[in-house]
Amino acid sequence: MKLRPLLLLGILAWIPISFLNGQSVDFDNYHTLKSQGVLPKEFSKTFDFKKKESKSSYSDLKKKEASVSSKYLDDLMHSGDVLYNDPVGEYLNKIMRVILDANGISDEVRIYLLKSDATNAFAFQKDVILVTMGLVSQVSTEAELAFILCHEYVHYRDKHLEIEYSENLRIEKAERKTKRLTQDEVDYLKSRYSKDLELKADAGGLDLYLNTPYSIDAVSTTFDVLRFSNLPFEEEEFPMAFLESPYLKINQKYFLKDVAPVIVNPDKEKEDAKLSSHPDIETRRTEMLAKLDGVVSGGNKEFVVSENDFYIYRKMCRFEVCRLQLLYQDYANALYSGFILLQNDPNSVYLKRVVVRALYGFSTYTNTGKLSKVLLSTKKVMGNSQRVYHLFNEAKKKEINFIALNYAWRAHLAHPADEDIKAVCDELISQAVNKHSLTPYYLKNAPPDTIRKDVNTTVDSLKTDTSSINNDKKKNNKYSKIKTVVITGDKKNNTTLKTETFDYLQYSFIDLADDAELKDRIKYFYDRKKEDEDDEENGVRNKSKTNKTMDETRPQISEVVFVEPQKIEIDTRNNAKKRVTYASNYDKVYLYGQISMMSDKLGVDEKIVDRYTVGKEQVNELNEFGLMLDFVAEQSRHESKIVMLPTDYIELKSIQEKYGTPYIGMMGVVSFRSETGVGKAIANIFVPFIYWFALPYGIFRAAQPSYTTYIFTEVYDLETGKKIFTDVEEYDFNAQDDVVKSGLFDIIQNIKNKK
Amino acid sequence: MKKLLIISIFLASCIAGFSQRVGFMGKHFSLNADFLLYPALYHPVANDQAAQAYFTSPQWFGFNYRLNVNLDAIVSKKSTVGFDFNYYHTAAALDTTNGPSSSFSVTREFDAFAIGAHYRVFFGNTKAPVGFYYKVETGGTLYSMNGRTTGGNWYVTNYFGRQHVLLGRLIFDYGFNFGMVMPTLGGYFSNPDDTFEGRLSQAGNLRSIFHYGINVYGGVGILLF
Repeated sequence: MKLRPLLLLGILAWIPISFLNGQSVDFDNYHTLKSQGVLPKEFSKTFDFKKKESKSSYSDLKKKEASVSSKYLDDLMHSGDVLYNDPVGEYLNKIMRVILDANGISDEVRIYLLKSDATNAFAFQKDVILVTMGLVSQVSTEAELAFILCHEYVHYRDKHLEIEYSENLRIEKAERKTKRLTQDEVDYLKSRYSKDLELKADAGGLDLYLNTPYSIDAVSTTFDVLRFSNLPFEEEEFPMAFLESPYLKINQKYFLKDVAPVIVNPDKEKEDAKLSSHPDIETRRTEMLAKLDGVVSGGNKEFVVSENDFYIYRKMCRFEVCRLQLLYQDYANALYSGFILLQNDPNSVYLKRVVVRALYGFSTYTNTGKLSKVLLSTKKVMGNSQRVYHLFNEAKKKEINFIALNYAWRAHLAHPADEDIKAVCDELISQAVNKHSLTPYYLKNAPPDTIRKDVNTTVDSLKTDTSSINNDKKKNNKYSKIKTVVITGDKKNNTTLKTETFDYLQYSFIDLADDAELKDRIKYFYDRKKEDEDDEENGVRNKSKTNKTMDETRPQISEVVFVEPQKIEIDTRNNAKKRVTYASNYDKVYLYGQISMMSDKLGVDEKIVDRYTVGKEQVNELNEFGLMLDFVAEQSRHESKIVMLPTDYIELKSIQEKYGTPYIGMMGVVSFRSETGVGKAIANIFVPFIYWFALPYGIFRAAQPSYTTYIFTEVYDLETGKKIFTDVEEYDFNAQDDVVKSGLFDIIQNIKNKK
Repeated sequence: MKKLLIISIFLASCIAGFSQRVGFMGKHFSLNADFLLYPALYHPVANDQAAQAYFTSPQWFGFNYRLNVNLDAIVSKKSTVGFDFNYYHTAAALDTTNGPSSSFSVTREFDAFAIGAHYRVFFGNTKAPVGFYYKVETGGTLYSMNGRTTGGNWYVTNYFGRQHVLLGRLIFDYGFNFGMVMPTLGGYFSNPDDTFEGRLSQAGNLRSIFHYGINVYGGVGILLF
C-alpha cells in the first residue's frame, strides 16, 4: 500500500522527463515551441502600469536604464521571443554545464533559445547567453554548439559587451572633440576594436573548449557553419515534381538545370568584414588552427550530452525556422526548408502548412505585382535553393496561383481537419476565380488524348529519388555537399532547359473533377464574383443597396487591443548625442493613461498589453504577448494593399476569444528633431516678404527648433489578417502634451468610426 | 438676434460636417481672454493712471493695455471663427493753443469698446486649436472721453501667435499683434476743425491708432464644449 504514492510520484516525475526527451516529439502534428512553467529570475523586471510610480522609483528606473545592455536584455527577455523552460534551451544548458564542469567553473550562466532565423548567439551580463533557433538549425554536431558556447562564455566572463560599449563612447567623444574623422573612419575604429574582442573570445573559447571531451575537429567545422549560414540548413536538389500533380505540369523552361555553385571568395569576405563587428571567417579559422598546431591531445567526441536529442532538437529548431521565415516573408526559403524537412516527415501537417503558406505568399504578392519585394532575383542566390527562386521569378501570375492552389488543395485533402490549410485554400480559390478566371468548368475540360498520353509519360520525370536521400546524418550534411561544389573561379553560366511544354494549366484539376467540395468552393467564389459584376453593371440602380451592404460590413470598432504603444524620440541632427530615445516606463504609464482616457471618453473598450505587465507566474500571457507582437510585426511588414491571413491564424483565434475582439492594433508617437537648416531659416524669413504681414511669423519660425511628430495607428482584423484601419496624424511640433492628446483623440475617434 | 441664429446654424453645420476630424478632444468652442500690451510712446499715460497723472507725474514711456475677450469656434481642421469684445481704458491728451503765444495741454479719460469678428488659421501640420496661427479681426470701436461718446472707428487687426492646450482644457496663447484703425469721422492727420471738440476727436482717433498699432499679448482661455 505504501508503494502506491511512490509509484504515483514516479509517474508524475516521468511526465516532464518524457517531454524533455526529444523522442516523444510528434513531428506529424508539431506545435511551435512555447515558454512554460515558472519564469526564471532573469525575467525579474515587471511593472504595474495601473499604479502611479513614485518619483523615487522613477529615478531608480532611470539609473537602471543607464545600462544599455541591461535595458536591451530586459526588453528582449520580456518580448516573448526568448523561450523559457523549453526542451531545446534545457539541452543547451546541459552542454554549457559540460563546458563549465570540464573547466572547474561554478558560474550559473543560463542559456536561452531566441526565436530568430539568424545564425547567431549573444552574451549579456546578468548571466545570460541567447542562442538563436537559426544557429541550432545550422550546426552539424553538438561539438560545434559547444565551441560557440565557449566563445560566448568568454564574451560574458570578460565583460566584452560593457568594454565595447565604453570604448565606442570613448571613440565618439574623442571624435566630437577633434572633428577630424569621417563617419567611415569612426565606424572603422569601432569595428576594429570589436574584431579584437571577437578574436580574444575565439582564443579564450578555444582554451575552455580544449578542456572538454568535445572533438577538436569541430573548431574548424564551426567556421563552415558561420560561413554558409546564409544558405538553407540543407543542400538538396529541388525537383519540380514536388509541386506538380498528374495534370499540373510546370513549364520546363522554369527549371534551372545548373544551379550556381557556392562561391567562397576569401578576399571579398575580408573586404566585407572591414566595417563589420566580426573578423572574416578565414582570419578566425587561421588563428584557431595556428593555436591548435601545438595541441597534442584533445577530445574526440562529437556528442556528449546526447546524439539523439541533438538531432531531435535541431529538427525542432528547423521546424521553428520555417515559421519564422514565413513571418519575415522569406517565402522561397520557407518553401525550400519545408520541402527538405518533408523528405523525412512526409506526413507532417505542420510542414505542409509551411509549404502551403509559402506558395500562398508567392501567389498573393505576384497577383498584386509586388513579387520582387519578397523574392530575390535568381542571380543573387547560390546553391540548390536557386531553383525555387528561378521557378517563381519566371512563372506567370496564373501559373503561380494554380501551382499554389494545386498543392494547397491536395494538402487539404490529406489533412481535411486542418483549419489553417482550409482557410488558405479559400484565399487561393478566391484569387484564382477573381484574378485568373477560374470557373467551375475547369473541372469539366477533358484533356485531349495526346496530352493525356504526354502527361502519362512525363509524370515524375524530374522527380529525384527522394528515398535515396542518405539518412546518415553525420556524413551527409549540408557542409559536405557544399564542399563538393565550392569553386574559387568565375561562376558558371546558368542554363535552363529550353524545351517548351504544353500549357497544362487549363487541365490542372481534372483529376479532382469528382471532388464535390472543390467544386462547391469554386462555385461559391464564382457566384460571388458574378454578383459583384452584376452589381457593378447596374451600379446606379443598385447604388443604395451597395451602400447598405458596405455599411453592414463596416461596423464600428468598439473593442480593440493595442500591443505595446510606443513613444520614441529620434534626433536626426548631425551632432546629436543620443539618436533614439525610447520612452521610459514612467512615460509609458502616462501615454497608456492618455489612450485609456480618450478611449473611455469615446466609448471604445481598449486593452493595452505591454511586455512589462507580464508577471513571473504568467507564462501564458507571455506566450500570447509574443504571438500578438509577431502578428503585428508580420502585418506591418507586408507591402501596402497586400492582405494575407496571418501565419499564426489558428493560434490567434484563442487571443480573439480571450479578449473578446478580433481587432488588434499598434499605436505610437514618434517625434523627430532635425536641423533647421540655413535654407529653411532663410525661407522662413524671406518668403513672408511676399505676404509682408507674415514676416514676424517667419522670423519666429526661423528661430524655432525643427520638430515633426507622427501619431499613428494600424488596426488589423485577426480573422482575416486585413488591415482595417490606418491613420497618421502629423504635427510640426515636439510630442508635447496637447499635440499627443489631440492626435490620440482623433485617431481613436477615427478607429471607432473606421473613417 | 436673427443674424446670430443664422451664424450659429452655419457654425453648427460646419462643425457637424467635419465632426470626426475637428476640435480638440471633441471640444469645439472656447472662451478666451487676451491681454494686449503696447508701449505708449505717444503721450504716455498708463492705463491705471488718471488723466491728471499726465501732468502730475509725466512719463516719457509707459504701457497701455487692451483686453480682448473672444468666443472661438473650431470650424475645420485648421481654422476657427468667432466674436471678439475689446475694452481699453487710458487717457488721451491734446495740445491746444490759446492765442499765438501760449499753449496748454488737455487730458481726458479715454474708454473704448470694440465688437468684432475674427477668422483664425493655423500654419503647418497641426490641428486647431494647437500651434502657430494667424488671426484677422475686424469690427467697430466706440470710444468716449470723460464719459461722453465722442467717436467711432472701423478697425482691422492681425495676430500672429502660438496656442497651447494645457491639461486638456486650459488654453494658453501668446504672440504679437498689429492693426489699423480706419477713419470714419474724418482724416486723422488733416487739420481738424479748429474747435476744441474737433481737436479732441482727433486726439481720440490717434489714441485708438496707437492702441491698435503694435502689441504683444498673452492670454488664457478655456475649452467649453
